[in-house]
Amino acid sequence: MSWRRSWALIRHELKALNDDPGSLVFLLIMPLLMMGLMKPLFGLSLQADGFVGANGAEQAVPGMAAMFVTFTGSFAGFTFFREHGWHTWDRLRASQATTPDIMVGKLAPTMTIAVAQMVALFALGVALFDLVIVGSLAALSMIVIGFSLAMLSFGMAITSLSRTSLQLNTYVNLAGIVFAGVGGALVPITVLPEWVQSAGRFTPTYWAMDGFLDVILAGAGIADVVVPTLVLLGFSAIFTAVTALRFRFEESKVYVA
Amino acid sequence: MIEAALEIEALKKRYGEIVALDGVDLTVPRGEVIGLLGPNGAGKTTLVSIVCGLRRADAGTVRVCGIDALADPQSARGHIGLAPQELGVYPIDSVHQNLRLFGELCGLRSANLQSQIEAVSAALRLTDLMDRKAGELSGGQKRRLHTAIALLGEPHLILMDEATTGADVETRAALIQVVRDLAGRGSSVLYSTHYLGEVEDLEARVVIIDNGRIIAEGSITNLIAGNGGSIVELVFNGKAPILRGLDVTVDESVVRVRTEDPGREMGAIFAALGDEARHLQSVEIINPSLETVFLELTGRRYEPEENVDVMAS
Repeated sequence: MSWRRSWALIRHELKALNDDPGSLVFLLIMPLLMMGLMKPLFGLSLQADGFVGANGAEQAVPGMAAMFVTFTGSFAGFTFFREHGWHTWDRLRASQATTPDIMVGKLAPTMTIAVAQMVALFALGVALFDLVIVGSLAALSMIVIGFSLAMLSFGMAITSLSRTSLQLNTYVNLAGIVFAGVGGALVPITVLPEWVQSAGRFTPTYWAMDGFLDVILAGAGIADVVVPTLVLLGFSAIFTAVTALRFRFEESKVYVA
Repeated sequence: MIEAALEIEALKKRYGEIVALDGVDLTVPRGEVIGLLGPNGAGKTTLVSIVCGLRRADAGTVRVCGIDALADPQSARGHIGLAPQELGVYPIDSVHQNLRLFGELCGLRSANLQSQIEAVSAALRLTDLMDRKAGELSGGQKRRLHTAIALLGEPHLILMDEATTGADVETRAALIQVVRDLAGRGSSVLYSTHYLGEVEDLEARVVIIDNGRIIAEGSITNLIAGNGGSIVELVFNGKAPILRGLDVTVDESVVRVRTEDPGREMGAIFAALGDEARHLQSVEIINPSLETVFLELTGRRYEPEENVDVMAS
């Protein structure tokens, strides 16, 4: 593995993202708008659940951050489809870059963006929506990293199963909404039917929200979020295994612009 | 002894029921240009893809500069520059950024990287376009950038797969000149094409591949000398008549007459035709060339687009 080659690819991917201002809207502005819209409703819900001083940002900020990071997970997969669309995939594979060089070069930027997106959304949540984080920021970071990793590996698993970029978008968007819905990001988990709450446990979003709410509302520390972090890493391992089994470097993929 | 840049033995590849390569043997000596000629679907792209590790072979051996390319494709790639069939450049990046990225992937750094970028951009006449985005280049300019990327790092073996597809006359001439220059500087080039004229322009040793098999190889002069002279091709409305006393091959409605002197033979042909001449649709004299070689070896005219390329499907 050559870090120089990976770094060349990382720079290239970051530049491509920077050249597309639409991604900034999607990464930050959309979730912020959603937070503003949902905050009052979530405030009432949290107060009904006994969090008397809650203003709704405690649910709206992590919820919308978690939902939109799911969509960001597809960015990594999209870069592979784009290579096929530009006919640069074979050229890249025939270069001296190894498989690990290419994977790191493609996935590291998305992981960085996912983490940066969540950090920025939490910071803006504090600044714009009066979010108060009672617990440990280190604990919050553990969940942020674990969840970003889970969503990145989820995006890659879907990429490995998709033949076209349209399929990737459809599946990731669908999963993003389902995960957010049953995982307690789109609405507080406590207002959902019991069977949905049980089903939610099988989504990474549930464990991310469990960790976030523990830190934000209950003042949890690092030791309190070990379980959700490990579960998120477990999801990452499962999704990575799917990718390893299904991803074929020589497979032709179809990029639909 | 200096090993060849590329040595292929008994290479086989199937895609399901389709045989793409059926025991190909091929050697590209150092500093030589080999014109790999064949219609679409003949197996050229499959061959190139296996050499640079993009596809797995079913059987056979491939050695690049002495390295077993099937067992250790990563090491072999260190000696290979590939210009694939499809134009592969990043449209959102400038010409310089494209060259820089692929130069870095070759392992080039700092001053060496810059001098390589300058050298290949000068060779392919890209110097004035360095800040232009690849997506804004004309087709010919993109083709030149596409080829320039393959030359970065001065690879010992350059694989050019249908390098001039869609290129204008000027670009085609420039690319042919670049290939000649590369050979002059000691690089080996495997130049895959379905254009007979290009191989003739290159004056390269020719390898003709058809249906996954090498059917002929040698210099153009020797191939033509060894595979007959001119051919007079007669196409009839309906089934072709039998022509006695002439050296002919018949294929449904087509009769081909081999001759050293088509002008003189014409009288004999029409005399042999007699009343059947009224069914004649067309007459064509095919002068000695790679076209007649292909015809002699396969019994059919060279039709570059006769099949769908297996790799492209």
